[in-house]
Amino acid sequence: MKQTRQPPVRRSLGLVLLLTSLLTVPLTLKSDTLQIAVAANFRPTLLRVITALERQSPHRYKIIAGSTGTLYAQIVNGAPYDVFLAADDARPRLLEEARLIEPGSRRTYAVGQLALWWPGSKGALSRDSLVNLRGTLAIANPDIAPYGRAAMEVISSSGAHDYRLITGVNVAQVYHFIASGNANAGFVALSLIRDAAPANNTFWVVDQNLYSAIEQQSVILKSSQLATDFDRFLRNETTWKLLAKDGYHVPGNPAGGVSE
Amino acid sequence: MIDPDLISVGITLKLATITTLVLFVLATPLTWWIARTTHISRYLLEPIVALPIVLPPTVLGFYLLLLFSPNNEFGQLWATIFGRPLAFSFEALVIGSVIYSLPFYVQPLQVAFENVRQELLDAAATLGAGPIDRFITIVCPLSRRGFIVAATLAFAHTVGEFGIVLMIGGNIPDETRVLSIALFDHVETLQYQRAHLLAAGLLTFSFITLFLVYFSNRTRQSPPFRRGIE
Repeated sequence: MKQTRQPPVRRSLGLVLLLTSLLTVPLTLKSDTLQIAVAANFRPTLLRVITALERQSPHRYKIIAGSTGTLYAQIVNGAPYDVFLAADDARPRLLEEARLIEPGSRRTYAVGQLALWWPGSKGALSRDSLVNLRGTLAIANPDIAPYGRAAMEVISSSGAHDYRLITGVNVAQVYHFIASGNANAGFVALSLIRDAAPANNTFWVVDQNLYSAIEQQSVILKSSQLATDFDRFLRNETTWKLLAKDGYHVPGNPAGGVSE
Repeated sequence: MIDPDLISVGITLKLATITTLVLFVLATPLTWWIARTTHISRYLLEPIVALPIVLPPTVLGFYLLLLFSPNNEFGQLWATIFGRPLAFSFEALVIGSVIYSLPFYVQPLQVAFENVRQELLDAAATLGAGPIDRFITIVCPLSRRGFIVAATLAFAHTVGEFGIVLMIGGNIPDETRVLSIALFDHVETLQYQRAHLLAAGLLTFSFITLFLVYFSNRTRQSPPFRRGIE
């Protein structure tokens, strides 16, 4: 009670001090912390990878999740990230061209799998079933999200015609549109519906040959032993098992020389 | 072929205009009631009206999306009456914007209404003027500036809306892609030049709007902004 009777000036001074101390916290981060910028769709999987990694490493890993475009813009403008896990290969490529990455560090760490989720569907799903779709079809924005671009490829070759196309910022939003019942069907990342485990006949893992591969690439922005170790861990057996479990394909050959 | 950004500008202006008109019709009586009532429910209503100021738009968008869903009665009723679902339509944006901009309309107008002197209304009543007559001939002229500020802020705030539209709009080019969404898309697709154009335009618009509001406030000390009884 006594506190509430403090003069306003003293109270606001306290507030300023509190805010200042909060703002300076990042400056005191220890140098053995790795800052990882990650595309939001991969965040849940990365958390599992980090948990596995922390069992054998004393270091700290800080995850900054966002859309690939936003993170890219932040990096170009000097954001202090050590590693960047993008949802596509376009933005890492641009960073490489701008010489903003550790030379030779751009690699595919996971290949995304596209899935069609259609809660009210009847019978087994395939590309041909899209012709029967009436109502709202949700996809991630094809201009922004690789899953949206892939979905667009499938739709345009499917002969579907009687639907209303709406776009979300990313596959997570598409998922929400469908889960809330506002969209009848939609294309999401398989990794998203793995957790939800929808009824067998209501989703379809799209054949990989129906769309160009969704290669998720990583780059090292600031080289350090910690970054190299993390990069290596991202391509080992443990991580690959986690990737496969979460609905990603493991890239290239296992020897570390991952294909582009 | 019209530039898609121009279409977005058109949708935005249409949305802001309709939202302001809807607020004028629906929120004016509400504001009058809040400003004049001594009923205890006022203290419940005022914070409810102010909620959109403090809540992140994503909270509103999240609940609106659940409300619009054909899975519940409201969404179902709408789809039955109008023949198509509410979510991802222009109408959905209007509903979202009316809620989102409500406090920006109500609060300035409430100040104006509270400053209308009760004696004037009492005098008019003794001369035989009914409540509606009193409202139109006394309250409205005295609160003219309050109306202008309220409508301007509601309009401008709707133009700047982003979070709710992002969640309930579905980014449909000629229906729900408003200016702020187009701007977001440009940033995400690295078209910074186009983004600059829209961002600078929005900035200029917002500044001019606020400048006009503050400037007109300063030069004319009209009744709504002076205490009624000295």
